[in-house]
Parts: sequence; structure tokens; C-alpha cells
Amino acid sequence: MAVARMRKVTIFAYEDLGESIFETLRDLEVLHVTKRESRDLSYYEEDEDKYDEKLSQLSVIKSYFEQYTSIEKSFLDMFTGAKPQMSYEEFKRVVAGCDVDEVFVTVQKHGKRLKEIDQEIQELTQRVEVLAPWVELDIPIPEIRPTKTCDMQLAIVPSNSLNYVGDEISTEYVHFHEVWREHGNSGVWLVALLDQEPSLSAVVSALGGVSVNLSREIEGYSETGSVKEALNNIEKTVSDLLAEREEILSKDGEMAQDLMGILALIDYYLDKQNLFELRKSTPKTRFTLVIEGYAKAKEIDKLRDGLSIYKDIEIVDEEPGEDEDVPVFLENNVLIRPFEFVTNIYGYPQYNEMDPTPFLAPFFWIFFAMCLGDAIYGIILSIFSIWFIKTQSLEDDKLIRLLGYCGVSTLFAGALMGSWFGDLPSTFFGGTAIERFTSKFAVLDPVNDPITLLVVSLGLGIVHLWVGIIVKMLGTIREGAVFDAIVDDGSWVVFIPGLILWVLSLMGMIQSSIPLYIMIVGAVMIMWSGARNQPNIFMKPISAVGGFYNIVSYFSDTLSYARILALGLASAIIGVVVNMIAALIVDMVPGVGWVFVPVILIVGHLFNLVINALGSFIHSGRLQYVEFFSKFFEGGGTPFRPLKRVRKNIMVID
Amino acid sequence: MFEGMIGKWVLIGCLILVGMLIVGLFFGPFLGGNVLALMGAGLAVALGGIGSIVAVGATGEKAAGMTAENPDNFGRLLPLQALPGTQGIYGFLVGFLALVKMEAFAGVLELSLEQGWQVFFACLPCALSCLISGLYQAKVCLSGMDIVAKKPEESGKALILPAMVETYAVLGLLASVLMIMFAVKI
Repeated sequence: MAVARMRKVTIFAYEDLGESIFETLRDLEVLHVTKRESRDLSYYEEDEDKYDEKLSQLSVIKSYFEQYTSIEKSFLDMFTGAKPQMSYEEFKRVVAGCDVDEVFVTVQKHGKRLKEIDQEIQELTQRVEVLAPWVELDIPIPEIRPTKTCDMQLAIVPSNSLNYVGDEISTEYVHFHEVWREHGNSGVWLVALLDQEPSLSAVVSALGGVSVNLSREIEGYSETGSVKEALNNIEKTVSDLLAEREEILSKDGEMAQDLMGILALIDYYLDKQNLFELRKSTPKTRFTLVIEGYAKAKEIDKLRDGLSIYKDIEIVDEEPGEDEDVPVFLENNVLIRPFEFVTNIYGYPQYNEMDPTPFLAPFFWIFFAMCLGDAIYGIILSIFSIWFIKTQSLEDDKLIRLLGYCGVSTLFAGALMGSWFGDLPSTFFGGTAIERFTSKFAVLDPVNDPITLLVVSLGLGIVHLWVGIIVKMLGTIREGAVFDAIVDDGSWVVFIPGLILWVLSLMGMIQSSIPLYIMIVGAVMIMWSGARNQPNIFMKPISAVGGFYNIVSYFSDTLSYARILALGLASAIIGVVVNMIAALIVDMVPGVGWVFVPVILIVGHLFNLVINALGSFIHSGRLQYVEFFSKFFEGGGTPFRPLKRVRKNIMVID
Repeated sequence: MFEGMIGKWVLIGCLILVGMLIVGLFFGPFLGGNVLALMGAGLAVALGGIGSIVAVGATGEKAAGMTAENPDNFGRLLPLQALPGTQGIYGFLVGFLALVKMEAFAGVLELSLEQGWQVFFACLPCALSCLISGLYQAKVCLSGMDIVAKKPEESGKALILPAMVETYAVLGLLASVLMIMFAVKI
């Protein structure tokens, strides 16, 4: 239960073995490689571009494929971050068998062609829109043009304006034929003699219409110039294009089935790139390179075994130096390990610092339980945790185990507070064996007697702070400053319980004068601790009294634990409210009201459980970070991250 | 954008509160103690609710946008959206306790004017602290979402920072609960 011992490892090898050694190290997963500032490496640049290019090609392919298919993800996966799995054989096959360049070229070609087809279809559709009404026109379009004596035009005019022809415009010289009529507009073919007033164009505008020229629309699709032929040809072209598009889409759909392979390749090249980056930052001479890093002391043999396949290699392992930034790995037994999750949210301890996890674990366990405080919620949490671990493959199951553990403590806390789905036993099972059973354990009713719970919360808070100071004292002793530890921290360790017991004796709860003496001893030590570093003899008394200043911050820290009561009350009362609504519905809906009761209970309590579990977790955590850690914990250590295969998109399993 | 809204909603909340106070001051004698107590309970629920509605709305908006960009972050963003939702629950709790104090579920007591005012004021600490802390907690949550976007592995830290703001809603809740339970003489 502590920070794992590390060994500093230095590997000397031939430069040309570099790539292979890094791959071996990656598969061993035991060495945390130290990165150094890179120096002039023009020699590698070409290689680097190669990976970047592959990765950008792959990301294009990936987003192209994702239009067609997607990897199935369950709702739970969104919370666990679970990745699709692939066997190692499959992975090797994919990496060996896929030509990224070829796929990329195909994808680009298809993408471009699809765009072209869409554009072309759109253009042709527009032509059809214009041409379609004129389908009955039996004169070839190129023939509609001025002849020697006549002017000829097609025009679209408002249908009712055709009635005026003859009234205002003399029909003597203008002949027209209505080809189509639709939505109040008519398409007309007009013919008139040249050299007359008004000209044909003037007639069209007098009718409020516009002349149209269809030669652009039929261009390329009609040899004879007939609108009908053009329409038929365009239709055929469009259906050809659609068929081509279908074909490309089905090919793409087929290709896209290989999305998993593309994801695997992305990981493969990310891994390559990662190893390359490391290799780049490795110090080297012309023939040799030096890999520096840290490994757990326990795993040194594994590292040496793994690298024994190389003959010309030298591995040195030594105790890390004092001021090195040694990576930190927390090692705790199975009971404490899940609580590392709480520590990790805040950060890692320094390598030379104590691991705070074992100290915070019991408090977190209890605080969470008191905040949630319902026996059945506890049971649900634990069962959920077990089920989740059994059914889901998790990379890191600390959080879910932590919930399972806290479920157990919540069961106890709930039983002690007599809360089983709120007051469900007394609401629905009043007088039955269930109520008698559940009330047997109840010693404290948070809703009707919150003051007791408040005292318990604040009391636990004081113990928590007190343990924090003790841990600080232990830490200082570990560093060798025994005297400082006893005077500076030990004084408070003595003073706080002395003060509390003394207050209790004043209140008549303890008949003894011993607490007073304990407190006085503590107070003297505090004054000594305050004064001893003050060089000015006249200032010493002031510094001595100033030593007590901390009591203000301890007092406000203690009050912060009142949140345990508040959150406990919140979850308890909402549980009661849910039960009350469920009970009311029975009377409100006569006869069938019972049907709604389970629905209301399940939905209501589930909501309460989720919201309050979140709150309980966060506030129990906060009490550790702000109130507890501030007493002794520095943090800021670098986490131990051994070189591993990159698993960004998929999980390769053996 | 959201920062600009905070002031507006605080103002709206305070206007509602002042409105209620004025109604109580001038019409209290005609309305009676029960109405005053109900106004207090309603204020706690409504102001806490406003705080949470605006807050969860703003955080949800950002969470949705970020999920669109990277659906994998959904699980990390959801708790951040839910965090400022607790204020509404605290407000509801206080309102409910006020009803319990009035024995609303067992034939409703007849409260004197003085008792009505007591319940009214006992509800205020929670109402105001929940309104304002909800809005400001949302601000921290919104920034916390940037942690999720940039460093998903550090998402836990994004959860702890907003909890600091929530402390004062919790204290407001506690104060109101204790007042209603022990300081209101009925």
C-alpha cells in the first residue's frame, strides 16, 4: 500500500536495432520511457511525413466509410468508453493485407464521381423542368427562327392575356398557337410578318410574357431538334447516371464493411508514429542509442528477460536519484485499490510522498454512505457493480468497484438510519414483518432528528481532519524531521482531542479533568511551535499566540462536513416524497391506482439514486481534496505510463 | 453569452422575491398566515428551479454541441450537465418540508400571520442561494466541459470544481431545513 518502488533503467544498444527494441518494449509494457527534447533530426524527417500522410489518408477513408456504416455501440459503451474488439490474428492480417494508398485512391475517385453525378443530375433535372411543358411542340427547335419574311418565336404569356389578342393587338399579322396551358400561364408559338409594327417581340411584351429559347436546353440531346426526343434522351442519361451511382454506392457499402480494418490501421500507424517520436527523442551517437526510462522494481526481471533476445545490448538499472521526476504507480491491496480512483482525480503523489489512498479510503467509504444513506440503494449499487464488471470488459474497473464497495457501506448506513427506499416499509407495509425487520436496525432518524446526524457528521469531520494532521506528522517523520513533526503537527494532534473532550466535560458529559491537562499540553506545544522560529525575542509571545490562528481554518473546515447531513437529508426526503406520491395515487385513481404504484416507485427512486449518488460521490471527494489533502498532500507526481501499443480506436485481444 | 444571462436571471429571481414580499406586506393581513407560508414554499421551489433550469439548459446546450463533435464524450459530459440540476431539487425539498411543517398532508393547520412570515423567511436562504449558485455553477460546468474536450482523461477534475459552488447551495438548504424544523414555532 504505497507508491511502488521504481528503478531507473538505461538501455544501450546499436542504433539500427532501435525500431525493433522499441517494438519489444511496447509489447512488454513495463518501461516508462523518458522523453527528451529532440535535437537536429533532419535525417528522420522523411519517415515522419510518411506516417502523417498515411494517417491523414486513413482519416479521410474513415470519415468516408462512416457515411455507409458505423460500429455498433451500446448505450453503456458511451459511459465506459468501450472500444470494438479485434483478435490479434485479425489485426495482423489487416495490417499486412491492406493497401492504404489503393483504398485512398478509390475512395477519392468514388467521392469525386458521386459529386459529379449529383451535379449532372441536378443540371439535367433543371433542363427537364424547362422542356417538359413543350413536349407537344412538333416543330424542331432549330426551325423556330426568323425566316425571310416571317419572325417566329416561342413565348410564355399569361393565359388570360391571350383573350386580348384581337382586341388590342391586331390578329391580322400575328398568328399564334397555344402549345400548353398550366397554372395560368400558356406556352405559345407565335409567328408574324417581318417589317411590321408592332414587332413580334413588342407583341410578346405587350401580352406580359417572355420569349423563350429552348436551343440551350436540348443541346446535345436531340439530333432532330425535337423536344420529345431531347426529353427521352435526357431521361435515359439520368437513369444511366442513377445506375452508375447505385453501383458506386453498393461498391462503397461493401468496402465500408472494412471500417474495423481502417480503425485498426489508424491505431497501427499511430503506434508507429508514437514509437518513431520516441526514437527521435532518444539520445544517440552514430552507432549507438541510449534509451532511458523507469520500470517498477518488481518488473525489472521481466524487462531483462524480454530484452534477452538481443545479444548486443546493455541494460543498467539503478536507484533513481533524489531530485529526479520519477513516475508514480500506486500499489494497494484489493480493498483499497478502487479508492485510487478518488486520489487520481486530484492527481498523483510525488514519488517520495506517501500514497494518500489508504488514509482517505475509509472516510470516503463512510461519507458516501451517509450522503446516500439508503439500504436498498446500497444493494442496487453493489448488484449493479457486480453485474457491470461481469458483463462489460473494462480497461479500468476502479470506479465501478468503488461504487460496489460504497454500496455495501450505504446498505449499513441506510439500515442504521432506517431508510429502505425511503420510508417504503412503513408507507406500504406498515405493521408487517417487513416493517418490523427494517425498524430493528434503525438507530437514527435523519428526517426527524437531524441534529444528531449533524453532530455525527461534524464529529467524523473532526476525526478526518485529525487523521490528516497525523498523516502530515508521519510524512514529516518519514523525511527525518522527527522533532519538527512532533512540535508542529504533534501539538495539534494532542490539542484537538484535548479541546473537544474539555468542551464535553464542560457540558457535563465527562466527569474528569484529564482533558483539560491534555489540552494544556497541546496548547503549550502549539505556542512553542509558533514561537520557536521567531528570532525577535519581543515578538515571540505574539507568534506563540499566532500559532492558534490555524484553529480558525480547522473550525471552518469542520463546518464543511455539515454537507453530509444536508445530502443525507436530501436523498432521504426525496425518497419519502416518492413514496408519498405513490401512496396518494392509490386513492386518487380509484380501483386501478395500484397499477401506477410500481412505476412511480421505480422511476422516482431510480432518479433519486442516480442524482444523489452523483452528489454523494462528488461531495465525498471534495471533502478529501479540500479539507483532507490540504493538511498533508502535495501531489503533482507524474503518473507511470509504460510504453504500450496505442489503442485509440480498437482493442486488440489475444 | 451565458455570462450575460446570469445577471438577468438573478434580477428576475429577486424581482419575484420582492414582489412576493410586497404582496405579503400589504395584503398579508387579508390573506392569512397559510398563504404567506405557501408563498415562501413556492419561492424556494421556483427560485431554485429557475437557477437549475437556466443552468441545465445552458450546460445541456454546450454538451449537445460537443457530443455532436465527439459522441464518445457523452458519458463524461452528462454528469457535468446534471450537476447544476441539484439546486432545483434542494429548492423542492425545502418547499416540501414547509408543507410538512404545515401538516399539509394531514388536514392543514391554521397558521397565524406571524407563523406564516416565519415559514416565509425560513425558505429564503435556500431559495436565494440555490438560484444564484445554480447559475454560477453552470458557468464552471461550461468551462469544465473544455477540460473534457481537451483532456478527456482529466474529466474527474472538471466535476470537482463546480462542486465548490454547490457548497453554498447545500449550506442554504441546510439553513432552511434547520430553520423550518426547529426555529419555526407552530
